[in-house]
Amino acid sequence: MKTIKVDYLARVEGEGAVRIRFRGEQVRDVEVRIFEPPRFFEAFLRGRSYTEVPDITARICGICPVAYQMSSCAAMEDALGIDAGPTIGALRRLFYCGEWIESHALHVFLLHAPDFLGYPDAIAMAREHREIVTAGLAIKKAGNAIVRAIGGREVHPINPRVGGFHSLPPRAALRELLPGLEHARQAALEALEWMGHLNYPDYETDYEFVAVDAGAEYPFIGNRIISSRGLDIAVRDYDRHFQEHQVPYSNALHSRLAQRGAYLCGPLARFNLHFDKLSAEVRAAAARAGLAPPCLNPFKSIMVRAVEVAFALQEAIGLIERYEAEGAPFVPASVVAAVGHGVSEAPRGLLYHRYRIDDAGLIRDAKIVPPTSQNLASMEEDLRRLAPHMIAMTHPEATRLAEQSVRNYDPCISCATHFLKLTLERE
Amino acid sequence: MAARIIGVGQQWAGDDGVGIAVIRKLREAAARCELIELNEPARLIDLLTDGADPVVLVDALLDDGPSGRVLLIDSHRRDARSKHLLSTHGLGVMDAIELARALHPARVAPRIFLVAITVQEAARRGVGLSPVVDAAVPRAAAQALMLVARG
Repeated sequence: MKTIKVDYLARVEGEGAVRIRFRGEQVRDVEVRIFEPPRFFEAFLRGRSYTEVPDITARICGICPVAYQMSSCAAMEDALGIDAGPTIGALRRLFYCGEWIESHALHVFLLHAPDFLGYPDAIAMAREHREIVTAGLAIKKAGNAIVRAIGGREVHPINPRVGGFHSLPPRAALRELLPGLEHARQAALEALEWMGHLNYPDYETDYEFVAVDAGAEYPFIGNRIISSRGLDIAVRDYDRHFQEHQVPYSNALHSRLAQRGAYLCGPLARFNLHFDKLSAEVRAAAARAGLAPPCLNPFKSIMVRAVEVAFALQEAIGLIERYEAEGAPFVPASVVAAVGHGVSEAPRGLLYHRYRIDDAGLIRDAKIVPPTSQNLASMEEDLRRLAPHMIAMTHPEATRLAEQSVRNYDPCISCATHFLKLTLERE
Repeated sequence: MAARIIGVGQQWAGDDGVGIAVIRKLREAAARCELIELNEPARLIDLLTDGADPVVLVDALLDDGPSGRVLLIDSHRRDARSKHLLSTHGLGVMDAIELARALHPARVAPRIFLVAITVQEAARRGVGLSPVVDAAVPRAAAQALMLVARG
């Protein structure tokens, strides 16, 4: 039996491994093993006040705390019957743009690009492609600046609260960001041009794409979930359609669509389901790079992320230009015993929260489903389909392909443990 | 240009806050150099390439040995880079130094020193330093000042 092992996945967040076992030429099993320990956030939220949920859940992740804050606030506001209104809604959208920009820029330019340009890491790549790394860092900086200006700090922001924000940022503080955002927008559009000339593995899969629906807007926060195969549900019906289950080799739960199986959420899903909601300029830039829906090649997710960076930068510029720091920073709540559901689009995909609170506003039950958990089944299916090509490869080549495939998902294992070491075994 | 000492860490993460504690100690002593508290190593690239020289970084070092030892680490040591290399949650200190050197070879501070205080994983939770790491703060501060003075 041949075994391909990646003992420790590099350039992903968290601790995991991959094992692929063969019997002869047949793939016997594929396991994405997440050995980062469970973190029990859902358990220790019990008994805490509903007001604490954005601050506690932000700690689940250092790169996408905004997503946790937005999904948790959406769920609590659903429970308490709060409509935060258009001003707070627009500020949340801007806040979320900042997170997409910084998260995608780090992954695209420093973590995933070395795979396509043939370098072991960004440091080796920087010696020969300084302009790529410099552009990536400038874009990331622009995203960080948005999060800091609205959230009070770059990591684990402190300004969001249920109902809105503790305070509205001054208009001048946001307008100061515009030159940096415009510079970053140009850099993202230029990056799409060289990405169009990269060599992408010839691989396509007919995923069921799942994403939030936010009406006429490219989605950040919404109250419906749709898929490429006809799913169209209210967020409150999530548990009826999505099932989590334990696998014996991993500390992360796997999600599946009931009676349908694996699905894909994240940039590729958003791009394919909501392409028409991108601006004409961003759609044209995607077309120049040779990218159009349906895009079924997960390796092209690097380009899709760059498209979303260009979109988020353009969206952020428009939101800042229209921003007036007027009105109350938050809508106060009247506590009632209730259940609330919230969903938003983290950089890596759909992030679902559900809370049950009592009449004192204390959390009695919590459920959090991060995007990496939702994509693990598709990640394994990709590896299963790619594995036959690995048999003839040397172990370093097979490891490289397996890791690149996993990195298509930009997995956040710390969020999901709630990943890589590759093992290939042949009997 | 002036010398700079940068304390790296998280003050709310137990002994991981020792770099910040060293900077505060130096402030109390009115140290005559630029003092910076930093919790996002990606920002180091700018701070290592804007003309400051020498630059002394003070950070906690996860180690299996006794906590509270103060070590001077060669900033060119490749084996001191994190085993995670780069992750989506940011750069490690040694990664940031190496990236700064790769990106801006003509601008990067010629003299970069790393003063490390050994800590253990279990002591990275909670607020405040453990007694043995707290006791190392004056020694680490003196080591950083000596490097600046020598530079």
